[in-house]
Amino acid sequence: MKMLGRRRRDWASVSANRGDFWKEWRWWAGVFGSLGLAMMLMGVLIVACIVGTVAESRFDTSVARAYIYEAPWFIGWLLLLCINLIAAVVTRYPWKPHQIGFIITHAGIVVLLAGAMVGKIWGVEGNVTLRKGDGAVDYLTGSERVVAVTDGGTGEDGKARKNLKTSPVFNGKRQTDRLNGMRVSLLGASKALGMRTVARPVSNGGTPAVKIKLSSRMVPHSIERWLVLGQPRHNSLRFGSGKIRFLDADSKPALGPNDVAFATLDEATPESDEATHDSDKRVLSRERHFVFAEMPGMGMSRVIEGSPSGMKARLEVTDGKGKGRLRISMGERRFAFAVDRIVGRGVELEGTPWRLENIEYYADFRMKKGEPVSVSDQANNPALRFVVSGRAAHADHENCDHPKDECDVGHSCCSDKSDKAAGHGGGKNSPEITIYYRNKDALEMVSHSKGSRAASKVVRAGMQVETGWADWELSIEKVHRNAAAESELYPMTRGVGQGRSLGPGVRVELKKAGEAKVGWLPFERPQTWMVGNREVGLRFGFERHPLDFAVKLEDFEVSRNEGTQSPAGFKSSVRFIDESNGTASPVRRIWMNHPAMYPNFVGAGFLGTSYKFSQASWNPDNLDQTTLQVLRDPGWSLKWIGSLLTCLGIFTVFYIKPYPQIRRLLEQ
Amino acid sequence: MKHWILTLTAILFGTQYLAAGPLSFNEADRLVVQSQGRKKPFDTFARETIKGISGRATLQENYVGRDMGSTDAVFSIWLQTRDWMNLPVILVSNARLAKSLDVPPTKKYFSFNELIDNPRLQSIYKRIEAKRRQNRELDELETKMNTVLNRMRRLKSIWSGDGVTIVPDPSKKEGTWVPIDKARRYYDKEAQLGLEKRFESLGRAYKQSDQAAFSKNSRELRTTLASLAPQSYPADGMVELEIHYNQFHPFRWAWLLYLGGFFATVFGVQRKWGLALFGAGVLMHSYGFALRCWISGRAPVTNMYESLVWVSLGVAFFAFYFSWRYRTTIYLTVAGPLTVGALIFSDMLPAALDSSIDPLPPVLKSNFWLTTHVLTITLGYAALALAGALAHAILGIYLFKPGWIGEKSSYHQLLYRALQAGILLLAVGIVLGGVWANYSWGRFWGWDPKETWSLIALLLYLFALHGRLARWWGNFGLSASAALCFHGVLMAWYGVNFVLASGLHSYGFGGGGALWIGGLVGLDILFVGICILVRSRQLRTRTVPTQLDEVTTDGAKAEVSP
Repeated sequence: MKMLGRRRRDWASVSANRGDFWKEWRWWAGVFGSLGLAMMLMGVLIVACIVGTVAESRFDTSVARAYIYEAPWFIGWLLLLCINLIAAVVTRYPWKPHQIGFIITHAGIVVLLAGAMVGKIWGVEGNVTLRKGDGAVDYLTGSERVVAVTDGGTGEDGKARKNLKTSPVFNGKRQTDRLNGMRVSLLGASKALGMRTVARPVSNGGTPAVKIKLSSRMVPHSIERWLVLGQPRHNSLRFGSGKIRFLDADSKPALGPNDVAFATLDEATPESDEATHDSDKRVLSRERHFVFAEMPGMGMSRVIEGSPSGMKARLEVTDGKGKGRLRISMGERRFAFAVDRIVGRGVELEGTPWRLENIEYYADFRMKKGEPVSVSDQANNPALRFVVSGRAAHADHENCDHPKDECDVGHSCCSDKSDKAAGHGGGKNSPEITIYYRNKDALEMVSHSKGSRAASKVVRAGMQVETGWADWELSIEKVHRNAAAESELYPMTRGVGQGRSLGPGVRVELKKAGEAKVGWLPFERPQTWMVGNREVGLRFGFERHPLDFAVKLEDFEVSRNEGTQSPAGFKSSVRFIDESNGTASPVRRIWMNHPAMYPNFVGAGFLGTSYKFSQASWNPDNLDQTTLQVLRDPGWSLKWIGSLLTCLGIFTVFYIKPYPQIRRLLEQ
Repeated sequence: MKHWILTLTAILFGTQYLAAGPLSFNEADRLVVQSQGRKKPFDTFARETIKGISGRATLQENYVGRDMGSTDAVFSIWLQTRDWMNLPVILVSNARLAKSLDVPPTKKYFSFNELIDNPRLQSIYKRIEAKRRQNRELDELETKMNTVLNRMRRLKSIWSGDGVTIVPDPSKKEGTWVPIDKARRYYDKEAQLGLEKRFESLGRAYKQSDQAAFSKNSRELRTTLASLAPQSYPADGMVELEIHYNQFHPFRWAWLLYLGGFFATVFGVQRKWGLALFGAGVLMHSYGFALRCWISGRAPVTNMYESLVWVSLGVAFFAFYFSWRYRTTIYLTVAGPLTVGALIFSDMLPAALDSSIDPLPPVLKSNFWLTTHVLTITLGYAALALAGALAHAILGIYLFKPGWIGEKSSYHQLLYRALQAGILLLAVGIVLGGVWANYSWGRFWGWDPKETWSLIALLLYLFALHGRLARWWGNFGLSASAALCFHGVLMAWYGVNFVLASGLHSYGFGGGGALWIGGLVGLDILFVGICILVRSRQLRTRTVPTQLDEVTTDGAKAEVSP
């Protein structure tokens, strides 16, 4: 910082005969306006911007914004730059004519930054998605995720409300805010929320419930579930191609578990969306298989489309050499392939309409983050994944004329309906475990897999049993006699046995007058909570900004480049509706590079105090939908003037000075 | 001698004239095809198709039996005169791609059938289709594979005739054109039969290499088609203009002239000759640019090819202007290799830099601000590129001929001139970009990577200038930073689209070349680093005069006096 010292001497000599305060002030101005500080400010800005762009490319725009571009330290830094620029200009007073370019440039940057600040504080930015035929929309959606808390239930206008900003990175940081004597806290966040059943013991009424836990050394976490008797949505668990049910002991069929009568007991799920079976009996079918050398009985298969192939596959390891052999039986036909030779290519099953594709080999199979991986090259747990596909007559269970137990490969398979609907191949091959409730201390567990005779066992809470499915073990965690089933939101970990995610969510705590409530809030699914006799509306989602007018989409057109399907342009026709008196404006057209202003007047574009609607994006799958970018930026004129001044100033610095005649003119 | 000239011509202007086969395609080239969103002469269509399939301007003998010009090749595919589905013409040029397809990486050309039978290609194809259905982004390998799939589609579309859409829609100017066998969509049976008959005789003439009949039938087919839909058929003038642009190769002439100018200055011919040649080059370059604007109906600065051509024009222009204004030749010496290199590069790599004229994406349509913004900012890049090149020359002098510094000290001043122009244009370009963004996206500044990087580049240069004002460094430092800062420009220009590949400027995205450019940037930074080390040692041992580093400014004067 050579400059600092030099300037100090300069100012000291200039203001030698003035008061100490004045001297001090000028000294500080000199420090703040120094070139050294300017260099440091610029240097850090450069590095920050580089980091910002890399962060944006590696992670997400919102991350770059939250940690750099819109972070308080960055804004502060720009403010410091402003002070530096002002001080640099001020300390050079009285200005000499040759400094005119310097002054214009630096003043221009200050004006520009001031405009940016005005825009940031008083401006509104967001977008609005409109659909043809839908009603008018009177709010903007921002890009920031917030938890909007409204005192007095859902619906956000006119009521006391507060937005809690959430971090774009789920760091689970606790944040707290207050609204009408109520304390709102964010306790944590999850990337994926799931919905699960829990059973709470009730004093009377209710039904029996059991909590089971499934664990395997193949997956890093275990699966815990409540099963509740007699409740269609909560009494069974699908698990790979297998299924676990919880039934009353009275419903146990007298003929034994292998009997056809089983089908009548199926009250598991009301699903009825059968795979699309049309009149064409030769449909393209595809089925994914997993086979494990260690667990020959525990292959998994899943129909991707069409109907099941009824194929049986087995992976055999031939003593340490190669990857072993894949044995396949399909009806009367038997096939064997050396795994080394088929991995990565397709292979036909001669004489059948089927073909194996996408064959992948895992030497040491594990599930990680929901994806199959091989954790080492050692053949500790060899597994093979492949797809069998082909055009085959699909199973027609209406004409099924042989008992389920004989339903073997090659025949039309009479699998039970719900299994097929859920896309489980292999018909009766899919293993099942049924837990029958006798009383609180005695459950009967019946497992029947691969058409073998059923094994029955009496179990109670705290016991652990083998399922016979790979190395999965089932333990009975808890049993309630009287319980009520409830749905509960919980943060999911990716992996086997997980249902569909509801999207990200945050954990919120509401406290009022000693009463507290805690719960998960899924993304863009508003909830109403009762706390202290008050309804409180909660919504985790994109920030909303209410407008005092509404926008309605009248028409949306997409023109195409000639002779192609690529879009050449989009045009939205909208009306603005004044909500105070309900009058609608004439139709305004918005297209690329041609925004519409509301309210519209001469000079509205320059002042930036009106809302500007620009065509932003479209949805190729719904041509009646448009997304408009909306901006109201009162700082726009300052930005415009500031940038004009900056460019003019740079020009003056570089080019006016050398010409003596202009210089002389300026110096007069 | 004659042989030598012929060889040179062949090298410079492609082999199509020498080895066009027995036929001349003069008339056939004037048929109009609607393809890729634009109506264009058959000549352009054939060039784009052959480049699009094989990555080369012509098909070579060792792959297809004889050298074939683009029109010749497209006719041959269209008329199915050979077994094109089994000829190795489709370019697969990526090592990773070759590995994932399980084919030898040394083999670059494949036949359609070879590829379609490849099981791995099929599985990647399925993956791409699945991702497309779910609107998910393709990874790098899939993007590369998609290019190959598009090459295959292109070949197939010509082979089946579906891609040769030469029958106009009579109802609309922007209507969809159809191939000959689908003419019934717009016309009656008679017209269809007439067209088919004409096409048949055209095909026969091609197969029999009957020049007279081929030309006659091409001409008549064109006349018939034009008379079917006179209002939507492009004017003869435009067709001629585009064929002239295709065949005249103005940019090749331009770089030849620049090369001449460069040699004239290097070998010490009078300055005015070097200037004259360079000036002629600038004129020729501008002529080509104007032609391209005329044909496309817009300023051609929307992809890397056009941008490279425009920036090299800017470099040449600034070099010429400054050389003339400041009575020097050093600009010509440093700009010569730069412009010649850029133009040859843009000409020789049709697979990487697509030179075809395509319709604009919607966001870039019909905007005055876009044109001014992009032209200004890229002109700024050009001036800064010139400054960077000059800075390298100065660093070279410091490194290899320290004794020359006294004599050549005016170079610092000249460097400063180029920097001034570049920084001003860059600043104005950024502001204009803000103005345009305000129109197009609704906000002035949004920290989009492209915006941010142009700001970073500007800040880098400002940092260099202010550092010199603060006497943190002198003339040498300014030269070194002008050399280094250009990498910021390179990042804003190329890197954002090809390395970071994120943000709203997504219309310019592409892949490839990142490794090469990255390597060159690394080498260059190494070079500047060595220069700085050597210079600091020189200063320590005082083997060179240092008074040149003195700057005649005080802190209050925020400028460097010229």
